[in-house]
Amino acid sequence: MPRHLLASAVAAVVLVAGSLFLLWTPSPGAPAHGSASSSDEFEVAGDGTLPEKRPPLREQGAPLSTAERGYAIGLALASLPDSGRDVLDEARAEVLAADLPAVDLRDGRRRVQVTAYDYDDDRLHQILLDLPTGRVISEEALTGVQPPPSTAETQVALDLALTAMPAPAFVDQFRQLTGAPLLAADEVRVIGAAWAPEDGGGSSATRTCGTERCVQLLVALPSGQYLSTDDFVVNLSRRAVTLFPPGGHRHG
Amino acid sequence: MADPRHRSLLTAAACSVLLVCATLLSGTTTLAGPSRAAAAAPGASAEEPACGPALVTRTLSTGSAWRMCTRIHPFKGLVLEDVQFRSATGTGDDQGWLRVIGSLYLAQLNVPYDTGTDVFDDITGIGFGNDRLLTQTPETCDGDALPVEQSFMVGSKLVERTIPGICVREAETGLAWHSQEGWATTSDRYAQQGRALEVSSLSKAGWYEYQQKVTLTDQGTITVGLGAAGDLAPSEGFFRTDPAFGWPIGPNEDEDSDRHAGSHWHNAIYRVDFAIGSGDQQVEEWDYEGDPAFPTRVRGEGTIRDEAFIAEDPPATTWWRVVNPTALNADGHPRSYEIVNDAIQNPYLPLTRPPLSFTNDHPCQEYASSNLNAGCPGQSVLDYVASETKPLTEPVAWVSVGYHHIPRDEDQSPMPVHWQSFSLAPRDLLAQQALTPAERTCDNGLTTGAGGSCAAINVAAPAIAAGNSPPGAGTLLTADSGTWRRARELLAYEWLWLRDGEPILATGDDGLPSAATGETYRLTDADIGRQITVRVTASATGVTPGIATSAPFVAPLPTPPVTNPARTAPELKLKILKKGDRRGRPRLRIVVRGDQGGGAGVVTIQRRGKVVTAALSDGRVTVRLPRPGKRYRVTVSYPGDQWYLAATATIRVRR
Ligand SMILES: [Cu+2]
Repeated sequence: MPRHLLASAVAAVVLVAGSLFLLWTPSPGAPAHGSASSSDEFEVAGDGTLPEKRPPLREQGAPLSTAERGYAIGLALASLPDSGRDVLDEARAEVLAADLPAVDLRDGRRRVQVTAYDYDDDRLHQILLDLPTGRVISEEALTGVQPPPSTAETQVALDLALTAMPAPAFVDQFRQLTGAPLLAADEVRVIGAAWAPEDGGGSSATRTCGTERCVQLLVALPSGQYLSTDDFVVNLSRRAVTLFPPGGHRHG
Repeated sequence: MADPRHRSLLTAAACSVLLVCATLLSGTTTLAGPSRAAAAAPGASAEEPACGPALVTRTLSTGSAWRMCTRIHPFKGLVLEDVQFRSATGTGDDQGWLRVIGSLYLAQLNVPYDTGTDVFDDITGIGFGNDRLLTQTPETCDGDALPVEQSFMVGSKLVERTIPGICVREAETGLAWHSQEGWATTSDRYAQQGRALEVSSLSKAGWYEYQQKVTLTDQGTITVGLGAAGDLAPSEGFFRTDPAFGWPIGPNEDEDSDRHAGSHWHNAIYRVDFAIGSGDQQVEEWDYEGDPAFPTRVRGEGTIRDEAFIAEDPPATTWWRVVNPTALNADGHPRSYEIVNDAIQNPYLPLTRPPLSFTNDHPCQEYASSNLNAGCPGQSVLDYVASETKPLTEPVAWVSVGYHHIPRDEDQSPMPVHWQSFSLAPRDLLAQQALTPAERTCDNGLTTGAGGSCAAINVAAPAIAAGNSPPGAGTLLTADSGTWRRARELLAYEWLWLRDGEPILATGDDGLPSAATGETYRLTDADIGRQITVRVTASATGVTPGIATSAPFVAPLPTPPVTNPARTAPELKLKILKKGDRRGRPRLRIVVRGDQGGGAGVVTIQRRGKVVTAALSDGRVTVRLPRPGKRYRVTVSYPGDQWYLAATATIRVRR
């Protein structure tokens, strides 16, 4: 599948009618008060665009408001090279986190540390921003550090696994358990985990995981039953699914 | 910097979404707790943490209080910053808010399965925030569920939600303290139930769900716990045939069945940045050495560790504390917190084997392993210690808390929570324990535990007795002292009589008005129908005085005589009982009865010009008469009441 088609497919899955498909919702058997679950789900903030004007700022130790976080992410992305690409191959780095920095780095001011991954060159960027001035305090870029995957990365990894040839075991397992083929990502629930082989380990196919961005998936049926997903990892940098040989180990 | 208008809007927004705003708001408004904050010396208290809506302030029902900033980090989950404690009873420099912790969070959760084929880093690989954070419900949180605002990018869109995500509740901790040194009386027994504040959140990291819970007691102890629940790893891929790597779960089939749920470790490493007072802090290690020739003799020695270190296989008796040599408690002892780590550690991994490591506080050293901070990428605690060049003056403790989970049948869904935890215990944070009762405030140093109460403490209120009944003007009231706890010195009592709560002014011997004091007081016309109480002050040298007030005594207004046209004549019977009293004095029974039952009120008894009165009870009363030298007559008169007419009767008393 060409990259841009994949990207739009994922975007469609992830954002349905302005509401994010929640990867993990309370289980269907949850008690009645859980039925007010609409407020549990993530929704697009406003029109989803990042605020360009500085929003009102909270005290230095307060959790970030959505507006503050969005403003900081916008500043951070603007400071990165134009060549940046996210997991959907769009022209921006993949934002993995934006939160308060360590107390010592705040200097008593409203500051945000943004972490983003650039699929163009497989580099992780960490940008410290000063919100009152909008200034970049520091910016570091490096390879080999792989934070937890974002929602979009996990979704892309699942899409890649669903369409991989040969298919990972869970695709067939889904058919056996439900009697129907697994066609769309929203038929299962998924949690992604950053993955790298143990030091010095890995096959030729997985040895680049770590410097490249790889994800393992924990996939469950809506009932909560987990499928077997320990036979593959997804290399998001290469958009490739690596199957382990039967009886092989993911580590070592 | 912060715009207060914005802040109030935020709070209002949070309130409209959730029902917790009452407590959220009251939590911040009640923090200036009534008398205590006022009593604190100005400037002694730490500054209020600057985190707006995330400030949690709670005064426990026992009087001690905590306040801190709380938030949910996308990867770390629950993060506490600027944790401050205020004791219920601290005095002098121990009053007010004391800062103890700069920041506290779970810096790694490494979960290797014993087969060696699967390992998860739940913090640096999956994360506890964003959509892994679970909503608090009445089942998960019977306290206040605080709103958590979350947002992140999905593709080009910023998404958000606000859910009840942090649970704050007050918990019982059982018997908090107890002392009973005096064996003769239980009035020397001191005991109290304890309370604690629990701050927690729930995250889903795959089949496991974790509760991150910090318990902060009214004594200043902080217990940091990780509770694991959810479900065992799926049988597909994680159940093996080899019993060496798991435990048989489910019905027995054959010996080689693929039914052994995989054993695994939950290796938690916490990062604790201490902030005891201000200025440099030190790490002190205490080691103990036995004497082979004298086995009960144990010698202890404290050493300041001035370089970053890893506690490698320390003896079980060794312990550490973080101490601020310039932050002194009211006794002049440096304040400190002791790290109490009774958990086991996974001994097979160099990272998790040491129970404790210390480094300086470097902002780039965020995670215990696979560090995600670009300033020291990919590093672990082992690297941090190795690379430290400066003396250890801003100590950060990395606490390894392990749990080796060997699944049981009982661990099946929903899995009962299994816990792993460590504690931070105050050591000389205060000159005395945080809930010292008034009875023990003078018990500091050489006088430990002995000698009765330091304060006059009333156990039973004073009582007022009337000299005659029914009482009226002229009745003499007598008060006792009430019952008081045995004090260090013999208590002396002073009485002050009050009318409707105001001191009564009586006319003294000199004719001038003076306060009515002393054990007795004679009622005047002004007292009739008013509430008379007596206030007893108990005091002694070196004892904190105490005050206790009696229940009110009321002399009723005389009821206007009711004339009942249907009043009848009662029968007034007098009888000398066969048996006299122990001294042989005759006893006279007086009975007033009629068609309405027993007569009410008093009878007067006349003998040789002497008159005494006696109150009827259910129409009868028995009085003692003098031993007759010679015979005499006794006349008894009943004045009547609203049902009966007056009556008189006479009886002779013989020798
Ligand atoms: Cu477990």
